[in-house]
Amino acid sequence: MIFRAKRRYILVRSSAPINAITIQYRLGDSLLSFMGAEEYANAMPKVVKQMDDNTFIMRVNRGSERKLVLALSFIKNLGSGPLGFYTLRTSGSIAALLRKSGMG
Amino acid sequence: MQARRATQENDRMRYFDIAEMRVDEESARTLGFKKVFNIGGDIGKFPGSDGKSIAFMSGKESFARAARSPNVLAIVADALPVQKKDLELMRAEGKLLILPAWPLMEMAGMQLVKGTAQLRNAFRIAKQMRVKSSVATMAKASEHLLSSMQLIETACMLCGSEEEAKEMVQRLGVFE
Repeated sequence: MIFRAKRRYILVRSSAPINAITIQYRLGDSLLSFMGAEEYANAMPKVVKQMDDNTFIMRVNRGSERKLVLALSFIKNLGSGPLGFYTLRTSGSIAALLRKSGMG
Repeated sequence: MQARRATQENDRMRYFDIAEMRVDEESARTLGFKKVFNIGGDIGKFPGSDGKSIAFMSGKESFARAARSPNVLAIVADALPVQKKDLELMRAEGKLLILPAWPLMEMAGMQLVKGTAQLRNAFRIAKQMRVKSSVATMAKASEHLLSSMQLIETACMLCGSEEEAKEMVQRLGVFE
């Protein structure tokens, strides 16, 4: 029997261009300080795809997507100036997410 | 499945926001709002406006005058804590209480905890006094803006119920 974790994918847009390395490390630190270790461990957020300079897709464990959406609202600076993150859509798969948002 | 998607799309198009900057219609739709009202453009600021306007609790004009003005549809709770006597007047005049979200976005650590507690308290007292309340970003810059999903989660953080949070975000349609 194989147990596969159920995930949710969230399409996120930033107010300014941001690169994948900044997203991966600095965003992770900011989310950890907001959510706390337990919530972060439940969510295990990860950036899985960068669509363009402003848009990327995050993966999170199912059940924690709302916490991640709230956490992204409170991150306004990653060290390179003021920044805002907007969560546009959520879906159970990347293909469905891109299709719903008209990017697929 | 298609009926559920249609319902979600209809829900999305009933959400509104208020900002102190201009947000074009396409950006508003991308963020999941039917419209983002601009203070100074779509909505006037009390005093000094003849059409639909909004007043601030921290404003220099008397609160009673703002609450009694027929043009003022909502009052922003930017000076916490809110006073029960002010809320009584708002209830009598049928005004909407707006809880601004952007100050929370500027806070971190214990300051954020305190700010959240203050806004939650304001919502609780407003509910006790039977005053309708709402949440808006009141964004001054693009980084303060939130998507409808994020605004609903912020409202849910204050009121505790997803249904109530969605109603709070929809109430801003009074300015339409």
